[in-house]
Amino acid sequence: MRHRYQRMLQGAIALAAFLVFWQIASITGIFGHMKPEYSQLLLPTPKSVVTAIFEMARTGYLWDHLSVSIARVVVGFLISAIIGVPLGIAMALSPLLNNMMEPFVRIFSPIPGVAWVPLAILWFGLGDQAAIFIIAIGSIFPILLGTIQGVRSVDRRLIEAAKIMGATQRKIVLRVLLPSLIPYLITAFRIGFGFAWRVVIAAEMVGVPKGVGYMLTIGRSTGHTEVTIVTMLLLGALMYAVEEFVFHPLCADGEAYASI
Amino acid sequence: MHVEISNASKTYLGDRAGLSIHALNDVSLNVNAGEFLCLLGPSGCGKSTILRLLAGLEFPDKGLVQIDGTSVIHPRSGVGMVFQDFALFPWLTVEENIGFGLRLRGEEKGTVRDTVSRWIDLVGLRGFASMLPRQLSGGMKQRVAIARALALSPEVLLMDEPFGSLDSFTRMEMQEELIRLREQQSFSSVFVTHDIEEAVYLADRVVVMTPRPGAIKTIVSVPLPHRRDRTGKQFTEIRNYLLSLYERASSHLREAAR
Repeated sequence: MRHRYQRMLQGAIALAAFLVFWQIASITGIFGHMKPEYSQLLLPTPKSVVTAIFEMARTGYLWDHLSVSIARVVVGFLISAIIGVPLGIAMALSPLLNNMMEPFVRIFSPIPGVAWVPLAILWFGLGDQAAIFIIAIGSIFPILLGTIQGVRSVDRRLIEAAKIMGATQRKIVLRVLLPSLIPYLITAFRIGFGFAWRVVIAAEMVGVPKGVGYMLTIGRSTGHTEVTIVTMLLLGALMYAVEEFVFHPLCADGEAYASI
Repeated sequence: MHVEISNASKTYLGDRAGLSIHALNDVSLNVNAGEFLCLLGPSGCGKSTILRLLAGLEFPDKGLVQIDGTSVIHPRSGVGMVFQDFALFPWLTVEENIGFGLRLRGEEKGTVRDTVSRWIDLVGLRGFASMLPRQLSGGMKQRVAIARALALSPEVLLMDEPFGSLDSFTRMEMQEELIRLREQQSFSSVFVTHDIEEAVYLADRVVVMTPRPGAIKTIVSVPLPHRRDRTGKQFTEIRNYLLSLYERASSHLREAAR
């Protein structure tokens, strides 16, 4: 226990030193390289960032934008899961479908999701639809490929055991295939979710209105750099929370589903 | 239930190297109701193939596999199977695994619960009902797998080296357990093993098989009452006789290789 407190104390001291360094840098004009008024624009003080967090939370500005992005990610991600999982299962089970789909997967999956931004804006205009489209396209491939791999690695003996006990094709899919897929789906969703966030931020930065990406740019272009920094911290906290409170416990559960 | 294999042959075509494996050559065999049959032989002698044919997981290229006079073309009810590496559903608890087949059949919840609980007692897993397979030892996993198969009250139980991955003490314990279970519920058994002593301990008849191509060399009856004494005179004689059959076979192979 002593070691643990010692480690935390060492970390806290380093963090405090960093904040002091940051504070000095922003009030001295990056150590005298420029006028102090100017440097606060490039590097707002820690205090102004903290003030901005409370201010933005109080006025509801923070939640307004954050909720827009979350809604876009959730909808886009759901669409790609609803299409990706069944399509992946079907492709893994049907050689015909797999052969037909494979060229498309090979052509489109290496294209970074962000590259779809211009086309999406052209097709759907500057709004939610464009953002959702890009998120769905950006996260569908990890989900699709993860599902295919999951189905292909299903333990053959489990399927045979179920068959001998009288399982129909449908029951095999429901009772054996889907549960076996769970660990693969958790991994696929985790990767897909990371993609979805990156893509939505990019889309909102280049013109889709509102959302966290919009906050990042608006902070820069209106001279409120602290808004940009707050948004970055927020994104970090959000990804950390999702990883820690959603995927980490899921993975622990998922291990129970892995083969014995 | 009468099980009959007539003149069955099976070849597995081309792996990547283009090699075909002649797994079974003209095998004929029948299993009488209530009989315990052991298929004995080294790996590659086609004993697991016979089991897969009986299970309806595969079909012979030539010949017939029949149960009660009809060809086995898909897995059929009344036939259960136990695998060497257990094949338990890792996401289901002990009781859910045992109840899997009953629930597939659409049995009432109450019936499933009662049957499962009876089998948990019969295989001595009381207290482990809500554990997951990975929390159990090898012997316990195989008890679950046996209970899962027997809960469906099969007339024929196929077992593919079920104790092959267990240590020899656990294996002896499981062999006795199996004999005990057969006293509770009657079913014919086709039991694949490469362990001569195991075959003599369990079987009414031992089917002696030889590899490349898989074929039946001879069938040896074991006319001893259960529980058999592993160190007894007759037991040892039969074991030594079986051993001598393989000694001769392998010396033939050595000569042929020369």
